[in-house]
Amino acid sequence: MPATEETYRKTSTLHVVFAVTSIAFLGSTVWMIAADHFRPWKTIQREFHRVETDKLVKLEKAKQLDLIAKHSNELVAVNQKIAQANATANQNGPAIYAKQTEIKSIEGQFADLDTKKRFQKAELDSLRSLYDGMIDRGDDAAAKRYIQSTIVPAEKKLNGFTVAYQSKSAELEASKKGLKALEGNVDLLVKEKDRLELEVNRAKRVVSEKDKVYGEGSLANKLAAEIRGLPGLDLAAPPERIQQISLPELTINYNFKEVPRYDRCTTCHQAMDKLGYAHGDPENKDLKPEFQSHPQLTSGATAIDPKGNVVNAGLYMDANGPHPINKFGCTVCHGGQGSGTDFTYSSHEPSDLYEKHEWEEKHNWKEMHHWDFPMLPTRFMESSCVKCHTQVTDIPQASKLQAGYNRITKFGCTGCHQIGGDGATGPDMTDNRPVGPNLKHIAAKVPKDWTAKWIKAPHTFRPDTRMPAFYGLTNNSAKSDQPKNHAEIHAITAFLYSKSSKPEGFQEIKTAGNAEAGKNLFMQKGCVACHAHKEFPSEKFPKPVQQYVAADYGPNLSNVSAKFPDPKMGEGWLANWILAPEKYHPNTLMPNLQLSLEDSTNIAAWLLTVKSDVPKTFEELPPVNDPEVSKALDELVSLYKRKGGVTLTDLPLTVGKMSTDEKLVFLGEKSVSRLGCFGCHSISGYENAKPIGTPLNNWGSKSPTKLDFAHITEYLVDQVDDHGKRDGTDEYFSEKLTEHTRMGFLYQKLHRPRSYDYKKTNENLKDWDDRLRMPQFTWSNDDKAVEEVMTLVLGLVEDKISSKFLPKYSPQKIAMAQGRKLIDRYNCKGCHVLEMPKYTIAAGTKLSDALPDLETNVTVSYGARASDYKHLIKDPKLGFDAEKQPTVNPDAKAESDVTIEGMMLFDSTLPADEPQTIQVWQPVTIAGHTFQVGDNIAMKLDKVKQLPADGGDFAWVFTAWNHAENGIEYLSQWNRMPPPLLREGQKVQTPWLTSFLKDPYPIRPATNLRMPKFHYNPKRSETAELANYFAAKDGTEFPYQLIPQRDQAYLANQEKAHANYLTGGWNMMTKGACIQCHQVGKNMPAAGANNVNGPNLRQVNNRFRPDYLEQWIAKPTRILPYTAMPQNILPIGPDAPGSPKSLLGKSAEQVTALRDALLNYSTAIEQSMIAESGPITAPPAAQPVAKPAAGGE
Amino acid sequence: MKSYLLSGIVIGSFLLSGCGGPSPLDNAVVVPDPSVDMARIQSSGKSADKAAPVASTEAAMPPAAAVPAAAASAPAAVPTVSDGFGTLKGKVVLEGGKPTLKLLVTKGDAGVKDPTVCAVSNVVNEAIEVDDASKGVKNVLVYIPKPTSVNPEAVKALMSAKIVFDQKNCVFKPHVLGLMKGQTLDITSSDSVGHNVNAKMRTNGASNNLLSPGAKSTFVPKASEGRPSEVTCDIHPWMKAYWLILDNPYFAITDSKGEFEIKMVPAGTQKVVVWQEAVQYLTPPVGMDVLIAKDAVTQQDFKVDATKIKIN
Repeated sequence: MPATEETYRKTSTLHVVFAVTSIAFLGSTVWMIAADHFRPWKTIQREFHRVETDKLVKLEKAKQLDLIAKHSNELVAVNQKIAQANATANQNGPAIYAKQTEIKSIEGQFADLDTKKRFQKAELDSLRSLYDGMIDRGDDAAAKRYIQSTIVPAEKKLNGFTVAYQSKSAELEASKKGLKALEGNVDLLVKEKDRLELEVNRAKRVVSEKDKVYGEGSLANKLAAEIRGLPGLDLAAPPERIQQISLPELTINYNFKEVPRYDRCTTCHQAMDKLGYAHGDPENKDLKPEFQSHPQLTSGATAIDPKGNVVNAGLYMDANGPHPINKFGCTVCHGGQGSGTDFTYSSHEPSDLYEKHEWEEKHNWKEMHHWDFPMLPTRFMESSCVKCHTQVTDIPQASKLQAGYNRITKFGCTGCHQIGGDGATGPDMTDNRPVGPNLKHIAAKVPKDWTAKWIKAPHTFRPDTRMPAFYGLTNNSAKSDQPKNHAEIHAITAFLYSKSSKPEGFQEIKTAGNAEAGKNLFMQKGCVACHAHKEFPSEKFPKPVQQYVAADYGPNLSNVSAKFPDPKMGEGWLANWILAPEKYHPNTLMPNLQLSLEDSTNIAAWLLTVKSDVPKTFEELPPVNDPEVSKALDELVSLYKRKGGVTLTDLPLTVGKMSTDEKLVFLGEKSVSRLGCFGCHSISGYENAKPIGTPLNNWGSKSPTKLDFAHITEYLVDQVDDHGKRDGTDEYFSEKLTEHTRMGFLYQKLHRPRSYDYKKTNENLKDWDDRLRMPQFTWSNDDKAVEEVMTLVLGLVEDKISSKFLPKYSPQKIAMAQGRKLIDRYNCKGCHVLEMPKYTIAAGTKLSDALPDLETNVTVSYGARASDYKHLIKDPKLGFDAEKQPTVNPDAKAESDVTIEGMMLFDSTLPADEPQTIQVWQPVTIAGHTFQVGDNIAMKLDKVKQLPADGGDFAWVFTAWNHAENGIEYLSQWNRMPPPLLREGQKVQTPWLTSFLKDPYPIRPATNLRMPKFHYNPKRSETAELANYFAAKDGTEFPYQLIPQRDQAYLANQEKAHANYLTGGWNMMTKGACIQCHQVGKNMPAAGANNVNGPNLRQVNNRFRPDYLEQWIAKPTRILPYTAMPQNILPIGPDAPGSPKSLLGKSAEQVTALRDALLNYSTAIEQSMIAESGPITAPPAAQPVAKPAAGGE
Repeated sequence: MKSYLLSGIVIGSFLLSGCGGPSPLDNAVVVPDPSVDMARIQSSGKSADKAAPVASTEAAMPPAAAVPAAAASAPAAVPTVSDGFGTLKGKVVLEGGKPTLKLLVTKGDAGVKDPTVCAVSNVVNEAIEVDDASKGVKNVLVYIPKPTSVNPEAVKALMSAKIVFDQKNCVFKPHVLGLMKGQTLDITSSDSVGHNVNAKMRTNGASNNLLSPGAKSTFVPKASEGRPSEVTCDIHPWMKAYWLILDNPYFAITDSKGEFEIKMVPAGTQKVVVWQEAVQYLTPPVGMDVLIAKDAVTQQDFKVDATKIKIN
C-alpha cells in the first residue's frame, strides 16, 4: 500500500494552530517577564535609586563647597607647591636620571651584600653544629682548637659583611632622599592634598560605586546595568533586588511550627537605616514616607563608645543602639508579614480612616484576614514592647504603654482579670493591691441607704471615682429591669452590712473638732497632695503653681459630707480614719500621717461642714417592700435557688419560708459572687475567692474567632448616628468591630462592656445571672484612656522570645524600673520633687532677650565661688581667681538649647514682662560660665520653654499659697516642706532609707508635716526597693555602702596626723556653732530642747554618705539652696571654735574632722568622755553653755 | 586673709560697674572714684575713723533713718548741679486701729534661746510700729525704683554715708535699711552669742554666713534687688530685718513719726513705691505716679490700711 501524503489533521490548519499557540506562548512569556520586571517593589527601588543618586551628588557638591569654604587657601597653596615641585623635577631631569642610576647600582650592591651576609650566616650555623658535635662527643681539646681555627674567622667575616650591609643601607636611604629632594618632595604634597580632599573623594567614590550598580553616570554604566537588569538575565546581579534580613532565632509561629523569620521590609523601605533621610530634616520635606529613615534612627538611646564615653545612639536600627536592624529585623516589633513584598500582602495596617482610604486609593489596599500577625497600627505601636520589656516600667519612653499600665493598676483591672503569674510572659501584676476600700466594717462608716445609692450610681456622686458602674448600663437599663436592679442592690447592701464588724482600736471623739483650724490643717498637712477639694480649686492659687493643683490619687473630697448624714458618727469615723487609716483598712494606700487626734478631728470637722452639691439624680431607691421590688426579689431568689438544685415543685415552698432579710442576704451573697465585688474590696468570707474575669495573659494573640461579637453590628447600626460615632463608638473602631478584629472587640469591651448582650437580654434566651457583668469605668467615653489600656492588653502575646534577645539590664536599671512603680504606687511625687522645673532657651535666641541680667548674674555667681571649697568640686572649670573677672557677651546667641533646671522664686508683684528669678538646682553652663547649684539667674519667662517639675505638687502649692496668704518668703517656707529628692541617692545611706521609710521618725524639729507611714506590701521589701531606686538614679553604690571613715586604719592615720582627732571634731560641735541649732549629746542650745531647730546630730552617722556630708558641712547652699543652715566654716576665715591645734588655719581639714566625728559619733563621744574625765583636761564647768568661745575669733 | 579676699571682690565689683554696663541707668549713675573707695574699703575692716565726717557722728546710732538725713545734709555743702530736681516729702500714717503685737521675747524669759543675751530686755515685734500721737508708721520704705535720671550729687552724698548692720541683744539694728549698689554695708555683732545673717536676696544671691560673737564682715551689693529682701537669723528665729538695694539713691525710710524726705529727685513724673512689712505694697508694686515739682518740695502722704495688716 503506497504511502499517502494525507495526514490525520490538515497540515495548513495545524500550521495556523502552531503559529497561534507559539505567539500566544511568546506573548504570555513576555507578559510574565514584563509583570516580573514591573513588580511594585522594583518600581519603588528604581525610584529610590534616583532619589539616592540625587542625594549623593548633592552631598558630593556640598562636600566640594565645604572644602572650598574651609580649605580653599590651603588647597591652592598645595596645588601651587605641587606645580612648583613638578617644575623643579623638570629642571632637575638630568640630575634625577643620574640619581636614579646611582640608586640602581647601590641597590644592586646592596642586594649582593645581603645575599653574602645570609650565606655567611648559614655557613657559620653549620660550623657551630660541628662544634656542638665535638662537645657532645667530649672531644674538648678538638673543640677548642676548632673555635680558634674555624669559627672565629667565620664570625669575623660575617661581622664584616654586616657592617658593609648597614653602611650600604644608609647610603641607599640617603640617595633616595636625595632623589625625592630633586623631585621637589612631590609625594608628601600629594599626600597632603589627599588629606584635604578626603571627604570629597570619599563622596565621589560612593557616587561612582552606586552609579555602577544603578546604571547612572556614564553610558557604559547605563548599558551594563540595563543588560544586568534585562528580563531573564536579572538573576545575576540586577540593580533591583529583594533585600532580606534573616532572623533564624527570632522565630515566627507558622501554624504550630516555629520557623525562622525573614523580613523583606527594607526591599521597599530602602532608607530605613540610612542617615540623611530623616523626616524632620527640612531638605527631606518632599521625601515619600516609604523613603524616610526610622524616626529613632539616631536618637532615643545612648551607647558607650570605645573610649568609654556615653554617646547618643539610635533607639532602633542603629548598630550601636539597643535594637540593631540585623539582630531584630522589623516584624518582631511591627508585626505584619515580613516575607511579603507587596503592599497588601505584607499586611500593612492603617492607623486611622484617612490613612485607610488613602491606601485603598493609592495601593489598592485590603485588610488581610488570613495573616495571624497583622501589622500594629501606629496608635498601638508600643504594644509590642511588652514582648521583651515585660516589666513595662523599664521603658519610660513608651508613654502610652506606661499610661495603660498605670491605669490598669489604678483602676484595679487585675481584681477580676489576671495579668501575669504562672507561665505568663507579660508583666506580673498579680501582686497589685485591691483598689477599693475595705468593706468589712462598712456599718461603722456610712449608712445603708447611702451605700445602696452609691452602688446604683457611683459616678453621679463622684464623677471621677475608680468604682465602675454596674447599673444603668446597656444590658440592664430597660424599664422592666429596674425592679431586679433595685432588689439586687438592696440585697448586696444587706449582705455587706450583715457581714460588717466593728473596727478595732477606734478612739472615741470627746471634743468636737474646730472646722476653721481643720481647713488650715487640710492645706498644711498635705491632704491636697492626694485629694482634690472644691474649696481649694486651682484658680485660688498663684498662676505658676496652678498646674500642680491636680491631685487625683485619692478621692475628691468635695462632697464627702453627704456620705455622713449623722455628723457625730461621721466625725467619729473620719477622725479615726485620718488618724490611723490602717485600723479600718490594713492595706490602704492612705498613709498614716502621724497626726494628733485633735488635728484629725479638726480636719474631719471641716470636711463635714462643707456643704455637698451632689446632684439630685443621686436619689433614694424604691424600698424593699415596694411591690415590684419585692416581686423581683422573689424572682431572683427563686432563680438562684433553682440553679442551686431546688426542684420546681419545692421552689415556692422554699422561697415562701424565707423572711425578707433572709432573702436579701441570700441574694446579696449570690450577687457579690456574680459581680465579683471582692476583686476590689475586702469582704468577709471572700478572702480566697478567685477573680471572676477572663485572664488577660496572651489575650493579644487570642484568635478573633474565639471572641463573641454577638449582635454588635446591629447594636451599632441601631444607635443614633452622631457624626459617624454610634453610641460614642469611634468610627475607626466601629469598622474594626465589623471586620471582627481583636482591636475592635477590645475597644467596645472597654467602651460599652455590656453591649455584646444586645438583643440577648430576653429571659427566654439568657437568665439574669448569665448576663454580661463587666462594669463600665468612668473613662469609658475617653478614647485616649481606652487606647492606653488597649495598648497594654494587645501587647500581652504568647510569643516566646529567646533570652538572647531580652534586655540585659544592669542592677541599676532594674532598681530604677522597680522603684518607679513604687513611686507611683505610693504617690511620692505628691509631696516630693524628683526633678526641678526646666526652662529651656532655644538655640539661636539672643541671650540678653531671655536673661536680661546675665552679666550681673555671672558676676554674682562668680563672686560666690570665693567661699567654695574647691577640692570638693570635681569640675575643673569652676575655679576662682579674685583678679580675673568673668566676661560674657550678652548679645551672643545661644549656640544650642540651654536648659536651666531650677526653682522659680516667683514674685507675683512683678509685671508680666519683668524677669523672674530662677534658683539654679543643677549646674548649667551659659555663655561659657558655669552656674552652680544655688546661683540665681533672672529670666524672662515669655522667652523660654517651660517644663513643670517632676513631682512636689504639694510643696509648690503650699509655698505659693503661704506666700500669697501670709507673706511667708518662699525660701523660708521651703525649709519646712517635704524635701526635694534630687541627689537623694548621693545623700543617704541606703540601709538607713530602707528602715526610715518603714518607720519614719521626725528629723527636722520644725516642719509643716511629718513624713507619713505608708502601708507597704508585707510580702515584698518595698522600702528597700525604694531606697535602691534613689541610689541607682544618682549612680551611687547600693544596697550597702562602706563608710571608709569608720575604718580603724583611717582613724589611726588621722589620729597620727592630728592628735585627739575625733575629740577635736567633737569639740568643734559642742563648743562651736553646731549646738546653736542642733542637739549634740547633752549639749544643746541654752534654755533647752524647745530651742533646737536643727536635726539631732546623733541621727547623722547612719544617715549620710560621707562625701555628701562633707560637702554639706562645707557649703550647705551648694546642695540645698534654700537651707537655713549657714556656712559655718569659710574656706578662708576664722577657725571653727574648738578646733584641735593641728587643724588651726586649715578650714578644709576642719570640715573633714567635723564630718569624721559625725560619722564616728559614738566613738567620738566615748573618746571625749575619756578625755574629760582624764586629769589633764580643763574642768568641764565651761562646757555646755552656749557661749561658744567668745575669743575664738 | 579673708578680708583681703573680700575687698578683692569689692574692688572687682567697682571696676566692673565703673566700666559701665549697657543699661541707660548705669550711664546716668556717676560712680565715685574707685581709688578713693578702695582706700575706704580697705580700712573699713578695722574702724570707721576714715569715713566721711558726716558718718562719724552716726556710727553709734542706727543709720537707716540717717540715710536720707545724710542725703539731706549734703546739698547744703555742695551747690545744686542741675536745676531739674526737687524734693519729695511726706508722711505715712495708719488708718484704723493700732494692732496689738505680741512681744517676741519677754524680758527674763529663761525659755528662749540664749536668754542671757537675748532676754535682757523685751524684744518687740517690729512688723509695724505706730506712733501713738501722730499715727505715723515707722520703717516704711519709700523709693523710686526707676527714676528718669539720677543726680550725681545725690549719689555722692549717699555714698559718703556709712551703714552698719548690727545685732544687739538678738535684734537686728536697724530693722529696715536701704543700700545703693556698690555701697558698703558693715555687718557687725555686738552680741556674745553667734548669729547667722541669712539675707534672702535674689539678684545678689542668697548669703548665709555664720557671724561669730564680735565678728565683722562687709557686704557690697553688686546689683539692684528690685524689692525688699528679708533677712533672718535662723539661730534666733524671731530676728528679722529688711534690706532694700537699689541702683539709685532715691529711697527713704520713715522715721518714728512716719515722716520721710527724698532730696534731689529729678523733676517730673516719677513712679514711687511705698512698702511696709506687715501690709507689703501700699502702692502698686511698680509704683504710683507722683509729679515732682522743680526746685520745690512735693508733699505726698500715704496711708496704711489697718485691716490689711498681717502679722506672722
